[in-house]
Amino acid sequence: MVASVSELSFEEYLKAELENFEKKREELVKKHYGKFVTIHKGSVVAVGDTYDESASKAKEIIGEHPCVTRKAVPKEQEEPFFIL
Amino acid sequence: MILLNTFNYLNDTPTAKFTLKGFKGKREVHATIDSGASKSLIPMPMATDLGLKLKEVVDAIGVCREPVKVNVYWAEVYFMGKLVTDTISGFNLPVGKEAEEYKTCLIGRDVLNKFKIELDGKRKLIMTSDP
Repeated sequence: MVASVSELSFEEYLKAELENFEKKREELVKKHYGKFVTIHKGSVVAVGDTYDESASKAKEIIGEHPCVTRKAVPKEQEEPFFIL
Repeated sequence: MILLNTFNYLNDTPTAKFTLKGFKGKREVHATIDSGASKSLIPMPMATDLGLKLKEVVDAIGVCREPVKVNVYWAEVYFMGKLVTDTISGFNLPVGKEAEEYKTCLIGRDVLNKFKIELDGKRKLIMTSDP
């Protein structure tokens, strides 16, 4: 379980959530391959076909709290997805 | 099909307006239409002004040579009166401090893909509809 953002700095919280995503990556890839998964406090709170879909579903559950949304793909297939 | 709105190019640039709603209020944002951007973007001071809450930080690539860190904020983004997404990215594009707003904000595919957007470069018009 990841501590809440009020107990950690935002950077520490984000780092912890990303570590948690990495720990779960293999399981998430098996279960939700290619989907966007949102993790909050170490738990999967939403899954969607797009970043926005997953984030919006998460917002309905956790509100406007920090969380990470990542694509469930093997590490080597991961790409930065925000093309500016 | 219902024609929802028409915008004019500004200085040879296709631009449009969307509305951003945050904890401290809402505002209409004048932005460049950028079909190359996967996510709409505002400068970080605007996010602060609207009281947007930080969701996370992601890696972004594009015009910058190296990947850059981009903040993702919770925000209600409305285009043509429709709520289109609950997040927006925040990044200070490398433009001058006095740059007009549309040069600092982008409307990306997270918004554009939910509408039909036609660019008429000859007449300098942008037609938006929601078929």
